[in-house]
Amino acid sequence: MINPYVLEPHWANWMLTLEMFVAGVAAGTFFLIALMNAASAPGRAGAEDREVAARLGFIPMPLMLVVAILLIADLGEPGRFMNIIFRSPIAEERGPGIFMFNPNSPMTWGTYVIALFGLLTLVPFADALLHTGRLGREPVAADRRRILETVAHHPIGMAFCALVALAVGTYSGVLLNVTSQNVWGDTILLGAMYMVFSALSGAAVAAIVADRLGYARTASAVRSLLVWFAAISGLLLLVFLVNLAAVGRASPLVADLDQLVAPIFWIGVVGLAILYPLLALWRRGPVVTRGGRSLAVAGLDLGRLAVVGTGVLIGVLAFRYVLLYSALAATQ
Amino acid sequence: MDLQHSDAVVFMGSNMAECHPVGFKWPMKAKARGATLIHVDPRFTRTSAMCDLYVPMRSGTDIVFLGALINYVIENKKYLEEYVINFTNAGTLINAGFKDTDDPGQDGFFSGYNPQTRAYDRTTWQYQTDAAPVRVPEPTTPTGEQSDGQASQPGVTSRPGTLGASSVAGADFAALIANRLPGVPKTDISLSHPNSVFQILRRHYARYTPEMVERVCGTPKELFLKVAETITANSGRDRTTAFVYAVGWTQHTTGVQLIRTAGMLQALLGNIGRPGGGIMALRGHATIQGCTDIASLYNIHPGYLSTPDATKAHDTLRDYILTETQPTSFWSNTPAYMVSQLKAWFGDAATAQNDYLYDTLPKMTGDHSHLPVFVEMSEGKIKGMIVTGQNPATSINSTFQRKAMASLEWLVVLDSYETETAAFWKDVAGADPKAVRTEVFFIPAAHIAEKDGSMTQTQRTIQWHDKAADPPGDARSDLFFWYDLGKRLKRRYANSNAPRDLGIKHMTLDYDPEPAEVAEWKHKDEPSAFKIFKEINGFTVQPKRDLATAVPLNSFANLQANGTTACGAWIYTGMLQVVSGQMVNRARMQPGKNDGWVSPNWGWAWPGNRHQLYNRASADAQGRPWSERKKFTYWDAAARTWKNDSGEGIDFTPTKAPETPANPRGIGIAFHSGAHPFLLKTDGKAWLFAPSGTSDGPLPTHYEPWESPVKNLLYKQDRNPVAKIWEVGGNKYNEFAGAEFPTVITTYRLTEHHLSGTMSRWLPWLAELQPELFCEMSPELAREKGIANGDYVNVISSRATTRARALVTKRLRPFTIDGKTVHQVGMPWHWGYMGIATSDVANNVTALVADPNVTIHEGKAFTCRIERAADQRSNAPKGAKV
Amino acid sequence: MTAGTKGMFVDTSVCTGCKACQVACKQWNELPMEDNEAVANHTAFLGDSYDNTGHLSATNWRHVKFVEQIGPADSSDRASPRWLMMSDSCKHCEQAGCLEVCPTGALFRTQFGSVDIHQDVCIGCRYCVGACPFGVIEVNKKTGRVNKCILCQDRMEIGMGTACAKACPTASITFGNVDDLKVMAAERVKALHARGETSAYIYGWDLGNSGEITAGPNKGAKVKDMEVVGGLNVFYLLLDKPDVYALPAAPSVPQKNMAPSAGVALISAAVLGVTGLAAFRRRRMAEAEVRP
Ligand SMILES: Nc1nc2c(c(=O)[nH]1)N[C@H]1C(S)=C(S)[C@@H](COP(=O)(O)OP(=O)(O)OC[C@H]3O[C@@H](n4cnc5c(=O)[nH]c(N)nc54)[C@H](O)[C@@H]3O)O[C@H]1N2
Ligand SMILES: Nc1nc2c(c(=O)[nH]1)N[C@H]1C(S)=C(S)[C@@H](COP(=O)(O)OP(=O)(O)OC[C@H]3O[C@@H](n4cnc5c(=O)[nH]c(N)nc54)[C@H](O)[C@@H]3O)O[C@H]1N2
Ligand code: SF4
Ligand code: SF4
Ligand code: SF4
Ligand code: SF4
Ligand code: SF4
Ligand SMILES: [Mo]
Repeated sequence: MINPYVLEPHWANWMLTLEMFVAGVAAGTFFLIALMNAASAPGRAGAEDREVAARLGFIPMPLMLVVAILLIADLGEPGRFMNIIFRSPIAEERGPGIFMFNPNSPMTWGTYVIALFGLLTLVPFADALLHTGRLGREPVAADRRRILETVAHHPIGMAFCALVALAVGTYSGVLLNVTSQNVWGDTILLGAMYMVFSALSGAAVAAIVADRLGYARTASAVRSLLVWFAAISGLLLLVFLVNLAAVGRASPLVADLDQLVAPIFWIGVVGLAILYPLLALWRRGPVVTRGGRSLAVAGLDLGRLAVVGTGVLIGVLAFRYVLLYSALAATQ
Repeated sequence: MDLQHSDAVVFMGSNMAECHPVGFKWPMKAKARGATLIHVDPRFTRTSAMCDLYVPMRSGTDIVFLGALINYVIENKKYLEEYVINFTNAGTLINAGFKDTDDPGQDGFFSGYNPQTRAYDRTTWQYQTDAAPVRVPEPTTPTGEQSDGQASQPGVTSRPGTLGASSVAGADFAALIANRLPGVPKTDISLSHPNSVFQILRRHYARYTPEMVERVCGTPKELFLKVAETITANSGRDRTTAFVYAVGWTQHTTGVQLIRTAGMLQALLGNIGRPGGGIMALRGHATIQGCTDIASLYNIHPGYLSTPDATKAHDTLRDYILTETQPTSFWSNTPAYMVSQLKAWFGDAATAQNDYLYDTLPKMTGDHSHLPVFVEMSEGKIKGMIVTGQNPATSINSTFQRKAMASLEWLVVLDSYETETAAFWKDVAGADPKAVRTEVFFIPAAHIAEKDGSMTQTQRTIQWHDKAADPPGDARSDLFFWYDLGKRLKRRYANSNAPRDLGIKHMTLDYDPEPAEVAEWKHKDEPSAFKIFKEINGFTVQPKRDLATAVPLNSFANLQANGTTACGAWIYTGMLQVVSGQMVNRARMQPGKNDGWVSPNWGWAWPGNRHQLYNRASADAQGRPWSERKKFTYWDAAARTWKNDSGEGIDFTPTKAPETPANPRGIGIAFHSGAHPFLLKTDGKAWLFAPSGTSDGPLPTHYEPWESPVKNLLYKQDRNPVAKIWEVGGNKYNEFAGAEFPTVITTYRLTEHHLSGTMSRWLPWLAELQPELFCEMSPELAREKGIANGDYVNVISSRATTRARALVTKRLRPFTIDGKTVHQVGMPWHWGYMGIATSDVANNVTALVADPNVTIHEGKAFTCRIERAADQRSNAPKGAKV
Repeated sequence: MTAGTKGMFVDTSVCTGCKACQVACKQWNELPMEDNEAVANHTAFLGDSYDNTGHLSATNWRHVKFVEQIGPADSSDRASPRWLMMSDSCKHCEQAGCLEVCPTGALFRTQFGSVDIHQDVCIGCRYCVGACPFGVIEVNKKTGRVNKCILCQDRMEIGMGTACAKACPTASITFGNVDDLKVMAAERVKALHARGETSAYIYGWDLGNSGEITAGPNKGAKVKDMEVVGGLNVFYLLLDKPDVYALPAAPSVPQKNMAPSAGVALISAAVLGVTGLAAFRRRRMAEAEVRP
């Protein structure tokens, strides 16, 4: 008999692959901003961090716009999207009230979290605008900056933002976990993995920005981040594979080389996202500076950090692809 | 419905679960009650899946299987002796000159065979009888015609000049029939006389052994014995077994004999006329039973009266009646039935003085059934054809039939869809439509729900149905078409004084609807189906015929031979009593709940609301139920009447006591004793040996199909010597037992489609369920031929090639026939080149060859060659002709 | 399950595979043919026994499966042949994965205990598609919304049974109160066992029966009634292991993954936060070292 009791996973499409990747990068970047603000210290390094964080602030908001467009394009009808947040009067079984909230549905959580996150991305964006002098001249800007800085750099505020960012990175993984699809429903690790990989992508973005701006001190920290996040990702991935193997579903991911998923898994996920940063950045060297400009970090020319970052980003994209399409591969 | 009472059911020659899925609930009920279900079929089907035992056999070998069961029953004394002695002709003595197929020098032929005419003379097959009563001289008929049973010249029209003269005025048919009583058949109730039917039967089937079954049918001996044990264990006083068949048995050159074998077996086991017994003939098209009853066959009039025949002594009505009336069976009533029918057709114009216009009826001159008609058509002998409710372009040897239609001048197709027949020219002419000169008229027909009417199903139960919707567009009912055509003809001949036109002039076309009948519909001139229904039922003739007010008759016993009653078909007389009530309350009737289980009120069964024919046989010779468990019709000695507690009509003279002796001077069933249940037989008994009625032998005998890869292992004569064959161009037969066509093939149906597919392939919901023609084959054959499941294969015969998908399945199997492997494949035949789901026509590969008794084709067993198609593209053109 | 919950009992032991249910469903619910082009182009033939519609979908709310078991596949042995047929549809689960994940409330539990869809609320997010453990619910390519068997909600509202049950000639599908159907199912299994057909057991509820498969590749394997996802209001009498009918052997509600998945994610969040902060902290120390 050829009819499977699992239908083809409909989310295995390029739009959603891209959507999850972009949202993950936005979330990861935001996480990095929060991290930098939270860890910010006095002195030169702190100044560099703040500088980088401010530039990173430009990134999440537009990315989230792209996410929204992708989501709407994927659903087809923008109007209907509202039914997740505002209860349609027809759905009377869900009780009175104008809001729709299904606590059992990761999609409900995800939608609320994304909406909130979308709003929050305005803060670093404004911060970045101010920082780069694009939001009016002094002294007006000074007032605004004060207000913004208290908001944007508030430690509790930052912790909260970091959590929201991570939640955005996570929810689609949890959502995949909460299905009956092959691979997705076979594990409980996707939420964590999605989160870790979006943090990794955030670190990669930060690495590129720090590198291109030439902030070696920040770059040095981001280097460590990349290595550690890659290590955590690798560890999780290992547990995940053991988990899949235990339920007999590992082969489409790792062994069916005639399908796209397994090669992309090995080259993209294992190679680019995990091994590449680990191997390239493992050895830590001194930060070399000349005339206030950093030249090298960790024994590495600054330019190369951006290359590694780009590689990691491609690796994370591969991760999105592999996970979305793994269910399809395991169903065919 | 009766099947629910069976203790064992053998489906053989039927795929009931697939072809009669709704009726199949009754055997399923029996199974739930503990009955054993057996399926004997070349293929493992959806019916097999529901059965306790599946028994494979090669197509075309059923007589060996059933004959071996008869042998088993006789040799193991498993027959119901009291039943056999009293209710069958087992003890009757046969003419001493009779020679059986196994007698020295007979080589598979019975005595009386004439190789020149390829026909039998049945003289030696007759009963030995006491001397017949001495005949008294009869007055000659008023016109002085002969009435001695001599046929006039075939093809000569009867005395046109004398049309209107009377042969029946003043005739006393009772006396004339009494004067024709035969002698009483001689019997030996010890069944031991060498000329007795029983002993002939025993000898005839002695070589039909379980080993022979294994050699010829390919059925493992153990499986055969399991069937034998099951049916004998489930037959007798307290238990009954039913056989269920359909066209898996009929479509053979031995079709009629094959079914007789089962009838004989059931008679031996005492399973006929009893609840849960019998042989159930599952009919085909929705009301094919009604069509047979009301005569869509060329050789019978409504109610199974014979069509006047120029090759028989049918010159005058008197000749017809005296030839057709059987003095010693229920058919002794033929005069009343025939005269009433003529009164129904010609109304007030039909009188004894003009022989009720009998002479205006056309007489048949030979076999005018489907296959010979198309052969004549191919020879250019037929100018035009009206096709209604049929799709011959996909019928047996369909390439031949389509070509034949191209020699018509005109063709009218009355159908709801543009069928392959309506579009036959598209196939025959290919790219050049001008190549076919036939003028085709397509007339859109209303579908069943779009008209009033009745249906008679497989149990002879008739039900009325109301029109539910107006037909779309120009579509009209068939009734309207024929009624209108009839009226036009009447107008055309209104001024003719030629005697031959009297029939048309006096046709009673008075079926105009009452206003209430058409009030809610768009067409106000649709004829009244109900008036026709009433005419079929029969009524007492009033001074002036008026169908609206005519009083319906309640029983065929009321029909008269003197012109005072009119009746379209005697078998249906009385139906209006139940059917008119049923029009109101059928929906509320539930057989077995608020109606008797035989459904006396839910559905009226002919004749006389008797659902179970010969049900007197459900009591023993003394009229007592065979057992309490199988109690049905029984004699109530106190009330001196036959009774049945389920509301069933008694198929017997209601007050004729079981001990009533046979009356050698009695007419009709009075000739039989009170212990003879089989009213329609001349001796009141079930026939284990048929002295008349069959043209290919008194006993069923195994012959191989006309096309078979193996020779007959039982007789020197391979094939039915009197089978109907047509050795004409385009109908070449595959060499018998030759190497070129080594594979046995059968054709059949699927639940998902209906017949030629017009009623299913045009319907998206059904089209998608079985989208394409396929050929089922075993993995063993597929491997041999390098065929993979789903591949396109060519199915090749001497007629043509058909392209089909391979459905490789272990449900089919190779047979070991006499030590040699013989493969069998099968194709459902529902496809054609029109409609939503299209494919090649399976019938391209079949041949025109038929049973000698009823001219049924042999679509169930022939030969072919299977090859993997070179072109595997899904839209590739059809297989090349060879 | 509340009293009066309606459902269907599907007894596969009497299913003749006639597909009347499949067609009746399409007729009553006015569903189109699945793929016109495939039929027209002669690519619709599946060659999978007598099945040519493959699976349940937005336009096939009912689907009849065919499993041929005529002896081992690679041998000519054809002993104790079986051809299993099973008519499948939405199970109207007591714990319905589809319903639980639906973010809009389009999927809802009806007054009859069945699971229905508000077409005008559904946004076509397809979450329910992946959530159903049985592959039942599907997106309708024309409307972008999802469709599946709705237990003939409109018929039930006027006191009628389901169209498929009505059409089934052998009463393989019976519509009724689930409580009554369970009694009927238990009797049916017992009757089959008494006949020697010990393969029979119930998929959907645990009515206490157990038996042993009598034929086919799993011959001799033990089977017993199984309750799945809190009970199925459309439940089955099967004659072989669930996977033979392409039914999951141990289906579960996807929600079971939600809390663990979120929990592991929370731990990861903590790890990430700590590592992140540590990275910057470490850098500060490293920086201190290089400072001349
Ligand atoms: N769904 C559906 N139902 C139908 C019809 C339809 O087209 N579709 N058609 C209706 C009509 S008109 C008719 S006549 C009936 C026919 O009803 P059936 O006779 O039941 O139909 P078939 O499928 O033609 O043949 C029955 C079986 O005969 C088997 N068979 C072939 N050769 C032999 C043989 O030599 N011996 C034996 N014992 N079996 C053999 C075939 O494998 C097949 O399974 O069905 C009616 N019902
Ligand atoms: N090889 C092979 N050939 C066979 C058989 C086989 O088993 N094998 N089976 C044989 C048997 S048993 C049969 S019965 C025949 C059947 O063969 P046909 O009778 O030729 O086939 P049908 O498809 O039933 O054709 C009936 C036509 O009547 C039309 N129709 C339906 N209702 C009405 C109506 O109310 N009015 C009008 N005017 N038209 C209507 C339908 O649309 C359809 O086109 O085929 C025979 N041919
Ligand atoms: S098609 Fe009509 S006659 Fe044939 S089984 Fe179905 S309901 Fe009965
Ligand atoms: S079977 Fe699937 S679609 Fe139906 S109720 Fe259960 S989870 Fe929902
Ligand atoms: S596709 Fe429709 S019904 Fe399914 S979860 Fe989304 S909104 Fe609910
Ligand atoms: S219950 Fe209604 S909707 Fe569901 S499968 Fe049956 S007919 Fe279709
Ligand atoms: S209608 Fe009944 S017997 Fe026919 S396939 Fe459906 S469930 Fe089986
Ligand atoms: Mo037929």
